[in-house]
Amino acid sequence: MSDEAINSREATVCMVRPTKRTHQHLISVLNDCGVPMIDVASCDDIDFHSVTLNDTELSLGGVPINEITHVFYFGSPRLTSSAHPTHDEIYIQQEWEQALLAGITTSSHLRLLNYAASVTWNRLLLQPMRQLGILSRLGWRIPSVSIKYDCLSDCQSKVRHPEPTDREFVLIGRRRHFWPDHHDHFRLLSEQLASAITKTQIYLRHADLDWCVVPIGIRQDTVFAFGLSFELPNVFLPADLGQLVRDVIYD
Amino acid sequence: MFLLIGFGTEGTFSYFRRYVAEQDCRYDILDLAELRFCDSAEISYRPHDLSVTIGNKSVEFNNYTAFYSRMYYSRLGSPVRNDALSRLISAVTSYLEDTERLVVNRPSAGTGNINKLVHLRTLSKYGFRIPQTFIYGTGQSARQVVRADGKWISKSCSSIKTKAAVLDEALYSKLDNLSVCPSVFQQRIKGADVRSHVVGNEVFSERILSSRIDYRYADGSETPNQYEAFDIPPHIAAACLAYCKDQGLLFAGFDFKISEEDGDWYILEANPMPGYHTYDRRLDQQISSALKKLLAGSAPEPFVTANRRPSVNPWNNGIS
Repeated sequence: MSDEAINSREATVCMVRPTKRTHQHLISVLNDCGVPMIDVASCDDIDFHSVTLNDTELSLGGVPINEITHVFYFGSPRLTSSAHPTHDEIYIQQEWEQALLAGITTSSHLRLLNYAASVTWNRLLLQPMRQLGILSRLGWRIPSVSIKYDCLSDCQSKVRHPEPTDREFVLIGRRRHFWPDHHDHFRLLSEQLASAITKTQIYLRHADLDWCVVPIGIRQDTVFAFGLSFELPNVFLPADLGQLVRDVIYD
Repeated sequence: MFLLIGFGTEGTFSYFRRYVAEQDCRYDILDLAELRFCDSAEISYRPHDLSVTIGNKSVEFNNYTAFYSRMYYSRLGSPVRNDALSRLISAVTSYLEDTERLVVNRPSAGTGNINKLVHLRTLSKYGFRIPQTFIYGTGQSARQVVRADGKWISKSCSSIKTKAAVLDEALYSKLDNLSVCPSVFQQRIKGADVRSHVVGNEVFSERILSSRIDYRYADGSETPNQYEAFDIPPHIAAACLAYCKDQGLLFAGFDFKISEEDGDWYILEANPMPGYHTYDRRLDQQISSALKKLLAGSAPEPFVTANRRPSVNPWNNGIS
């Protein structure tokens, strides 16, 4: 089903997250948007029967997957909070992750939002230096990175040139971008970064992404980008996050 | 000059390293296994420019015209060494993704095999025949289709290496454990195995006759495996090449079963980082030869070629 067809229907959004403690601000944003929302933060919320090459029998939060139109996927529910999971726990977590993603991506009637950053077979996007490479290609100034390891004394030092100062974030969606505040300072930044932001929006469309967050640092009036994130952090205004959510669901 | 990136202690990497050492070609090695024992390491990254030092060995990536990478994460015994490997992989990945030089394979190429079902769905688009495959998450759902009749194989959903097992009575009795985590069940195709390696535009294949469930693992069967070089049907070769082209793969290993019932070819997997050395030994090193040619052949050739540039020999009073 095309995005247009999906978006013309009444939206039913599911958020899959590792635990109940994460992404709480987004739950509020979705509720404020008035979008019917299913929260999946535990394996108990998943009723997994079967997935084949072209059919899925899976319910999330008690709702059959064919009634869900959009999925925000921030990681499969975590099975253990242990910092040192056993081999079995690691295996079970990975199997759940892949089974769930197979089910979600097999369902042609729903849209997995920020697809390229959500599917774990595209994990290159999450590597910090890969992110710098992408940002550089999109016209952002980026720092050089040098890391030294002293393996005998178990220490390391990381030097970025330049080091970020006056850190900010910019949230970029396919249609518009958002700053943490509506202060004039950010309007000036928008002007300086107009070209890089436009190229990033084009990249989002090509790369099957709906949004990204770029942490930036300002050094002597020059803006440097330090990475990419695909979370939706609460440094942004709830109204702006709501606008982004409406953009990705209804556009 | 090309660069080999991998663990010098790992079977396939050390095999290819030994192969190129016997050839007339210029190459260098970034041995990630050295991170386990080195005193220090350093990574300096800018887009299109990367230098890595492990112990006393420094590698400037821009000095090479081609790269062969068998990089993956492995625990190295201390947090600082683990972190060094992780960051090094991140930096090398970024460089290899962005460079216009030849890379076997770019890190993003063909990574869909992390998820078995999604991978098979992708392969089916190229005309490959796929064995019936399910992921089941409850014993009740599984029992509606699978039986302990020797016709089903159990596998993992992810790329974690697991031994395929035939669903027998003992496994069947544990199907309710699927609620702990889902698992893949696949129609068992009885018949010969075929392993094909694509290198550039060439395909090298071997047929394996085995009484084992998975010919790679001994399972108590008495009969030894039989191996023979094999020409695969043109339409299968064409599908392999089309898949590699679309996925950006210059090197890949394809696993097939030929059904003894109807002679049909079924694909099981396409591996973007094939452990190919045991096949290559039996195929007179044809895969290594093609791989080396691919890597060495990418060196830019000047207008005035080497055979027009005689060396100056001071002991021979002129040009030799």
